[in-house]
Amino acid sequence: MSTLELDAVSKRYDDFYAAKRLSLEVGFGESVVFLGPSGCGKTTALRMIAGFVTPTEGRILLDGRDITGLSPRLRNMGMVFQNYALFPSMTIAENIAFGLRQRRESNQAIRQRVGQLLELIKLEGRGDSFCNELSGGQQQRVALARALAFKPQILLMDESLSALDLKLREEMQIELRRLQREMSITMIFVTHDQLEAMTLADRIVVMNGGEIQQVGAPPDLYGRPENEFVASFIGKNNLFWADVIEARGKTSTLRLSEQLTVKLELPLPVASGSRLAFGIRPERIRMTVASQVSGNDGLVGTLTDQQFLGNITHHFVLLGDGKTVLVETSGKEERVATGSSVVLHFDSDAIRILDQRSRA
Amino acid sequence: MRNKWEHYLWLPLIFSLLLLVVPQFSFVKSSFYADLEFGAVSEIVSLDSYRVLFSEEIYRNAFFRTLYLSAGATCISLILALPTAYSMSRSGRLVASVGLNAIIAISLVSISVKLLGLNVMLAGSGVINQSLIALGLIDTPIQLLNNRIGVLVGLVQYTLPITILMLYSVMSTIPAQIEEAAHIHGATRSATFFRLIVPLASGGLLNGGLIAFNMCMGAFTSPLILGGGRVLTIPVLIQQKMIAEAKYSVAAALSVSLVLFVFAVNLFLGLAISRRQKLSRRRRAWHARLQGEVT
Repeated sequence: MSTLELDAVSKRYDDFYAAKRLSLEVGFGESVVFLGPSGCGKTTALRMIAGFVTPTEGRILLDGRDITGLSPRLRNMGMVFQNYALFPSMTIAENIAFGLRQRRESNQAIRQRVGQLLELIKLEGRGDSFCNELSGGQQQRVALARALAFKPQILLMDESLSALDLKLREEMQIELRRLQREMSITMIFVTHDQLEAMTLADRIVVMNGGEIQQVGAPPDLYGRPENEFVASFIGKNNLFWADVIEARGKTSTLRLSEQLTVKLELPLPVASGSRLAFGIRPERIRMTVASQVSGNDGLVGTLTDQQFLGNITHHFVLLGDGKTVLVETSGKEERVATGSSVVLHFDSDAIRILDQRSRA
Repeated sequence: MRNKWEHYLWLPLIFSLLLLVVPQFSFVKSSFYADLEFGAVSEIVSLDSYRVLFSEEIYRNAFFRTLYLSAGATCISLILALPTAYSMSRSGRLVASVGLNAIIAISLVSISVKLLGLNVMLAGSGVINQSLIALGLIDTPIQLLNNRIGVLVGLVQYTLPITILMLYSVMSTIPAQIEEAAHIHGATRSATFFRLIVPLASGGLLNGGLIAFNMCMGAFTSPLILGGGRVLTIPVLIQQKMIAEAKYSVAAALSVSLVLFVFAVNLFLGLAISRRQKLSRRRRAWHARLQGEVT
């Protein structure tokens, strides 16, 4: 049985859907990350799960029990806020003990649990300090300990790492993921950072325009995006739109624009006369100097710019119709001078045909 | 090097300070020349007037009466203002601004108009007594005027607007996330209010309370009109000594004592607060930073 279930949950303000028909099941010990640009509804989704926002339609179930209208304090969830929202009038130990105190635990049990958690977050002996005496990373860990102290059924994280600087954030992502796995914490994390989502998630829920676009494990989302939004939001991608002029077996003739028509081997059969959208990842494209190529297949273009990024290099290739294609190489290939005429090749399984209308 | 011309802008402050301080010297001076008969004063410097203040019971009683009426009114004001200010700081922009404007408008109405209104309401034939009788709770009207109850009501009405404004400004700096954090971790609304909001607003409570207390200690119109001249607070007594009995020296000594006492209370609480603030300065800095990031 799933721990948390969203059953066609919507939040509507007049005519505007902040979240539209969200359906999702989260299993015990699973880490699910809501990912999307700002205004996509991911925070509304989290706040409905927490109980701060009441859905206008749909149900939210926790262990099979309907909690849609239940007060936040009775949901037995822990939450880490973006700016931690630690209680400034209380010491660190009092902050961590807060949930247990509200649950009327015995003093002895509280002291023991707080001790355990202080050890877990490596702040032993700092229990009597106030939160402002701690660094950002330490405050973040105190907020986490406060959320975990009463062993909540679900841990909610609202952009909880984004206030930290990059290096610390990456350390905390790995640390949090380890902790979540070891303690089998059911976690729902909200972020706009796709690398953070990939590090933390068993499954990512990609959202846009208030709707779920696609749910899947990070490799699935990267390798098999279903629509244009997911294809362009997760990782870098080259998106093409084409009219199928002629389809003969696997090879199709596609018109990319008025000036540019190509013959491509597609991974799926398509009907001639149809309209098509597809994506090709930059690292799946091979780039060759035009003078070294015989035959006339492939896309011809001019290398306009190159960006050296250490382990990889980005090449920007301008096609005949004015479209720029991004090609990524891992630096082992021969260097090509900027301004050269180049030809681009890719295998048919590098082409990912997309659902044209993203669901938003 | 920056031009220091801004310092000339302090002139109005210095001017009003002089207007305040200079007359006090004449009070202080005349308090040292004892009263003789019929408004005449002695030409010999003495502490006779102060001796009178400490030896006669009427002055000592007036002093305690002023003190406990002021402290009482301050407490009632704070208790009434706290939930109002909190709820205003948590409502939408429109509601809050309507509320704030209403409070400011109320506090701009002349004190005598407000007091005469209270006079009508608190009278034996007034709306309060008549409703209580109509409800069958009492048979004969309760005396609400010309006694300490009336004065207390008047003082609360006098200080409530400023207390609400002071507390509102503190409450609106407490981030809503703090309350959400309390709720999700299991706190009831009242636990959140008393364990988090009130401690975080304690600085504002002290400041607002002190201002209300100072206003009450110096209040003259409320005790005079609603006390009907029968509730002798220090300001009322000063007026009586001066106008009715022409005892200028005793009146001066009374006002000097009142000023010194109020000053001492402020100094004491001010020092206590600043010590507290020194201890929690870093905590406040952190709180302010948090606030900045949220908004």
